[in-house]
Amino acid sequence: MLHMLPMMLRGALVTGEVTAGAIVVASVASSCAVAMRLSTLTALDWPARVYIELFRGTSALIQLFWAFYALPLVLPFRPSPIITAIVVLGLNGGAYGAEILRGAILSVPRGQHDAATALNFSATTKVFRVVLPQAWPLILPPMANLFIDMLKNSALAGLVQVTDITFNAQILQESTLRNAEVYGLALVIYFIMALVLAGFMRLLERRMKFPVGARI
Amino acid sequence: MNHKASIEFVNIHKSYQRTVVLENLNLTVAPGEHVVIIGPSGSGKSTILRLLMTLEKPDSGEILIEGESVWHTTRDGRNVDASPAHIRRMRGKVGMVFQHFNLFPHLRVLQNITEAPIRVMGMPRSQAVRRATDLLDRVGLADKAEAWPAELSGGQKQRVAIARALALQPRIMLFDEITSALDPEIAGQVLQLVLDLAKQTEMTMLFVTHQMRFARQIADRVLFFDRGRIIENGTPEQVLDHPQQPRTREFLNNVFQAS
Repeated sequence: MLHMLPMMLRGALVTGEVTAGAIVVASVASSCAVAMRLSTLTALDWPARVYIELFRGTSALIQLFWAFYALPLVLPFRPSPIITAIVVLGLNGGAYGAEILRGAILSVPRGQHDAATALNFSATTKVFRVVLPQAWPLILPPMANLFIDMLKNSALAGLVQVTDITFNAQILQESTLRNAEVYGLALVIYFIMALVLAGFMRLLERRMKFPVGARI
Repeated sequence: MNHKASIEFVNIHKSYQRTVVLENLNLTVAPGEHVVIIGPSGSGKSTILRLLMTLEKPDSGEILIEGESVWHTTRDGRNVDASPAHIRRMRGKVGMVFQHFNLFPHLRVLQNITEAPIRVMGMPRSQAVRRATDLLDRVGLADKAEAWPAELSGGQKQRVAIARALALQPRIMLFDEITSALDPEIAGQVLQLVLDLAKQTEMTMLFVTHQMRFARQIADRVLFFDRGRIIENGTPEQVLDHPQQPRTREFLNNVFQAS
């Protein structure tokens, strides 16, 4: 089993790259989408709604296949498999992330908005000093779930020739036929990566915490 | 228009969906005057304060603060919607204390008070901290500067909220049922603090309250409000002791019976 390790670890590195990249894309996409969703301008709200419903309502695998096999036919260039995977999985996660952000932001009580206005805060100060700090504790736990889900979904990238854990595991399985060891090792590696990600999110959560009591 | 007035409501209309909350409201408050607004729930009392604080926009009519319209300016001789900058400048003249305190739970007590002076007035942090410490001292909570709002009692939270509103040195202070969420003994202490404050400053103050004793002590003028209209308007003696309108008498009877 030891001789499989280097190849699996190389796969883990690629899985890490895809997941990290997708998380960055998802964070940017969900932030933009939620800003548009909460905007009072219908012209901004609608494109965000379409994006969210489109990516939530279709299979991530089919999105990936479509981006990998169909999109290059209309694009003047062919993006590399890893870039395709990062963008598609990122946009997919971003659609879910936008709804997590929206729920958390809307749950900040109206009185907090009133207080911020009464203190004459600018719109930016209100968002960054009042609303978001209070939304964070509600955002982080479901975001951690989403990110771990994205880590596991990154296995789909193996189906469009990204040499991640799943892809390398399949190659090893075909050449060694040792199913139990190969996929067992893959499971352990995914699990360890998920643990690290969850630990990191919990650390963030602890840093964002403030004593929340009864209604303030 | 009398430009000496601190606050003027001119023909203000406000409704939510189909419910008319304020109907053709005209009201003038002199500088330094303490006006108490009483009336049944849902009569539109709080809406007056929320309109002044620019938390709501009137459907029609003009609100003037120190002779200047809050929502409109004149450009080329025409009345046009005011810019956000103008509205913020007008808003800066007003401070408000809420029924449910609305402290920022993620900021410590001192930060709750320093946040606006630093971010809105651009005050250096050290000066803002000095001012906040003075204000905390004034409301009797000097030792709570580093506490979280969740660690305070209701009365303490409301004192912090008062200090927070004062930190911006508004010309007009609005108090929206500030003791309704407090038990009677604590409410008394908070009201005493406001009474002291009213004596020490020249701020124009508007109160919405159900505390008739407090109204009597602090008010230069009492307004009885019902269904979006001012029914009665006079000194505390006139309105509370010798109400002219049957509706006012009925309301006061109910309130005094309840207490």
